[in-house]
Amino acid sequence: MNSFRIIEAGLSTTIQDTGRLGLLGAGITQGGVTDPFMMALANTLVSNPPDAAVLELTLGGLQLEVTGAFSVCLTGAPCELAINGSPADMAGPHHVATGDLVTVGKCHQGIYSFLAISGGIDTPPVLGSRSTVVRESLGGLGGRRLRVGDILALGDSPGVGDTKRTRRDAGSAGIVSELESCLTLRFIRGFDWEDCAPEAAEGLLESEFSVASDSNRMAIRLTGGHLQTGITEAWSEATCYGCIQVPTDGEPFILINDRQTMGGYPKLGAVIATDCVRLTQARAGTRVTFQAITLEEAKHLAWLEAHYQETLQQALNQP
Amino acid sequence: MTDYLCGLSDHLCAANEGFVVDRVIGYRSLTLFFSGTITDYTDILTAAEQYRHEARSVTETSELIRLPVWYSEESGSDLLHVAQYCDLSVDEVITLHTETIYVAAATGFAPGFAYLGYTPEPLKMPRLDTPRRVVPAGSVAIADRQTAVYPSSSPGGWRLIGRCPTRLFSLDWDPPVKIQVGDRVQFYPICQNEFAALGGSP
Repeated sequence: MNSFRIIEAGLSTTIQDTGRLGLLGAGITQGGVTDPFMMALANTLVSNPPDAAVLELTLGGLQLEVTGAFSVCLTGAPCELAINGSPADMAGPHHVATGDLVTVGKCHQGIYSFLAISGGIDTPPVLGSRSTVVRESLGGLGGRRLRVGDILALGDSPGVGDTKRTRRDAGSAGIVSELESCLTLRFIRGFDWEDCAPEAAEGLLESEFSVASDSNRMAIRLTGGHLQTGITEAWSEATCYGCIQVPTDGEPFILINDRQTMGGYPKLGAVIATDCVRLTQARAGTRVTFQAITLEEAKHLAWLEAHYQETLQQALNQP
Repeated sequence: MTDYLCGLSDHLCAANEGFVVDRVIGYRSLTLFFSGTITDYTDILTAAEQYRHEARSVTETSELIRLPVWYSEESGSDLLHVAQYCDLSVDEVITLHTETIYVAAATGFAPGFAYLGYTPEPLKMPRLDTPRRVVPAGSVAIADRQTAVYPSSSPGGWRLIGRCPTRLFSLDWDPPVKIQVGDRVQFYPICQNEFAALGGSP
């Protein structure tokens, strides 16, 4: 059976797949990989189903030792990659065998990178997913970040020699996340928009915010707004991916994958998924502005994004 | 409201079977999760409007879940403060908290957490200005006119009045939670020895 051992674990490396929907009402967070499309591309390049479990790296930094024979591919935030000490491009796929060392070095830009391995990480699914939620000690390997010495088994995969896939140039394949120093987040207005003080709504549309350093897989915190919504009555209700919540201190935060399922702060809207994924890669200090769009526009953008993703995936599927 | 939202939720999920991937009932809202590229939201809105006009009232009564609570200063660090704030004796706080039958108006926040409404008016308490970083697992708490049990250790801004030894979440159950939206819940007092005997964590 193919497996690998963790020699260096990095800042926060977790096992992720598409996460869990269907149990939000039970308080089980959605979780899942921060960029499902980058995960799908990495999986496609190593001939996995698009939703096979991968390793999600935070700011790079990982070394693993191979047992057996399989291939690997790295997507997302650009990192230095080396096989047995020789620099390698991210996309690969790189065929590796027993004793080989796969090293992911520094991450120069962005935050999250995704390492797909043929066969997929084969930890037992919990509530239908292998995704790790560290806060709840759920999924992954013991519900925690990977540590030095962990050994992870892989699922079945076609023998490495069978794959006809050839190496690709990382840039042209679109497998590296695009990173911007200033992000415009398009959002649809939410539940509390109408009830919110006009100054707070204007503040959201006209201020320039900055990504705070204490952002994590639950929420991206923004500073610089001081939005006073004037809404005092807080009725707990569901949170969604991209939800713009404004607590009493007036600095908004955008809820992402590992968010708590209910929230009692005013919600001014929801950032569309495409932009929210870009936000997850934004380091502290990245400038952020908001742009309101209609539900119809959001639907159209989602359709365009789905079309783009499908086209790129098909291109990668060509032998 | 909770009955209406439960009915609406069932109706919309049945009408869009296989397309609604998740649903969450809140105090005053129902949130449905579906793929915007597969399902058109206008269809769901139309179905919701139809349901509102039919205005069925659901009178189905759910089973009563009874939960033991060890009320004390030791197990609920805000118990004395709550009594003082509400101008009641500790015994009166316990009586008011246990004689009410609550309805789970919403669930979520953390696995197994249920928002139970409504506590009697004399027990109305503001939340802490600064939430505690850690609330022990099993803590029974009140805030505004709600009460809840924290199923696991987590941060929290509600006032702690006791501890409940009953498990509210397990991966071995289907569904994995004990309390669901619409369920009725009542608390009853136990002593420290009973708390320990029922498996309460120290």
